[in-house]
Amino acid sequence: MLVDDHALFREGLRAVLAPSPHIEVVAEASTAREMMDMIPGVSFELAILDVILPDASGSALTRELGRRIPDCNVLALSMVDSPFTVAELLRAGAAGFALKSQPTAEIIEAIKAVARRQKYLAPRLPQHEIEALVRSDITGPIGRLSPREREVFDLLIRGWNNDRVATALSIATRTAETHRQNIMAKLHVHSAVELIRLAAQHGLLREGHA
Amino acid sequence: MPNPPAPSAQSSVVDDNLLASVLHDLRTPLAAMLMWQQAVRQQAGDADLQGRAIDAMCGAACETVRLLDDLRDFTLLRRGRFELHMAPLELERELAAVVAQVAVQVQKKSLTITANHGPDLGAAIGDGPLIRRALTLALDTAIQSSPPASVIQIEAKRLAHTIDIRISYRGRLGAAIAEPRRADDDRGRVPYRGLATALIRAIMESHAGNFRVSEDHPGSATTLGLSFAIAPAPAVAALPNEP
Repeated sequence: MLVDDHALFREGLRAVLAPSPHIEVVAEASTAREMMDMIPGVSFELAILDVILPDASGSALTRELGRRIPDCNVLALSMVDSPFTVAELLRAGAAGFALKSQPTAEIIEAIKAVARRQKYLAPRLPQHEIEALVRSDITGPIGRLSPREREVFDLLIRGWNNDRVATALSIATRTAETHRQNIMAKLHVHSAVELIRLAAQHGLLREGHA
Repeated sequence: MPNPPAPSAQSSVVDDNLLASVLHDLRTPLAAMLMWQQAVRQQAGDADLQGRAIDAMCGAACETVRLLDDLRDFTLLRRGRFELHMAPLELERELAAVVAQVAVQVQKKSLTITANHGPDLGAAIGDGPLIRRALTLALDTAIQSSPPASVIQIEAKRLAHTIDIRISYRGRLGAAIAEPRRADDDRGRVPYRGLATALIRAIMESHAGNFRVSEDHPGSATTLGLSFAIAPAPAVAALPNEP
């Protein structure tokens, strides 16, 4: 199953995989929702996921896939090579992370390795750094936040109010307020000052923050 | 409450986010080109594949050019150096033209577009190609983010001083792109289609209007709201040229 929002890339990948005798592309989806809708009607052993989709992050989709089809292997295939992003995907349950810029022979190797339930990391990626990130819980209590809440949190600790957060993230002020309340509840803080203090305690304040 | 950060710090965050977004947007068609060139090398004797590869690479190259144009125009608009050509616009006709422009994408995803506007939508003053571009980018965003066989609703209203256009669809604008360099680094968190939304906003602001995204039902339904002045003040209509 190929999941990538860029149709030209999907078609290219399908063309590259076509001559491989042991690989058959049984379905394609351009969004996470499209993939989830297909699941009841299609059987597949491996999902190749882009990290960035219109309606979900690759890590969120990997987690959801793990819940829906525990036996399915996931290979992330992306142009993004940030160790933190790679670690996030691996923590979510992906077995491998390949780069779209790799030679096709290597991508096919990655697919085969993940299909055999082996781990795979693109050779260009800093393996030790990524493994350390996967092992460590670097986010501490902030790890309880959803990706969207984490974005709101990052702006709140700058001292921004709901209106500014809403504008920056292109969401409604009411939605920003809901995120703020959820963040405070999850982190057991009761004011903006406590929120900033908690961020400082975990080394999350940078220059330019409040 | 602590004081808000200095404007320069906020501006830096916006620039960092936009840069990360542009990088992502540009990488996307380039990845497709790289994949197709590998397919051609791998299957050199396959004439059919070569034809498809040429079409795909042309498509990806055009997409790259469009993104670079978007980036150039966004930069000019934000710096007040885009020369606007203001003229009367027949809004009903403009909307119909934009819907016709995306017909192929709509058909591919089996989507339905409904356009509702009052009988008095009438005319406004604006830069026609620019307004059409903002509407096309917004509609394209809705198409990309909509599940297949769903409905996109366009509602246009004439208010006292503004034209208000709302594009609603099932789906969300997109999760932020998590591309941080460190766990505590928010610079790489980019909204999906960040350049497109930034350009829409810049176009609307150049017409004394604004662009808002609202999650009607968080995670499942979104409305893109574009508004612009029916007749912007002359100062907006005649921005100075680059010295």
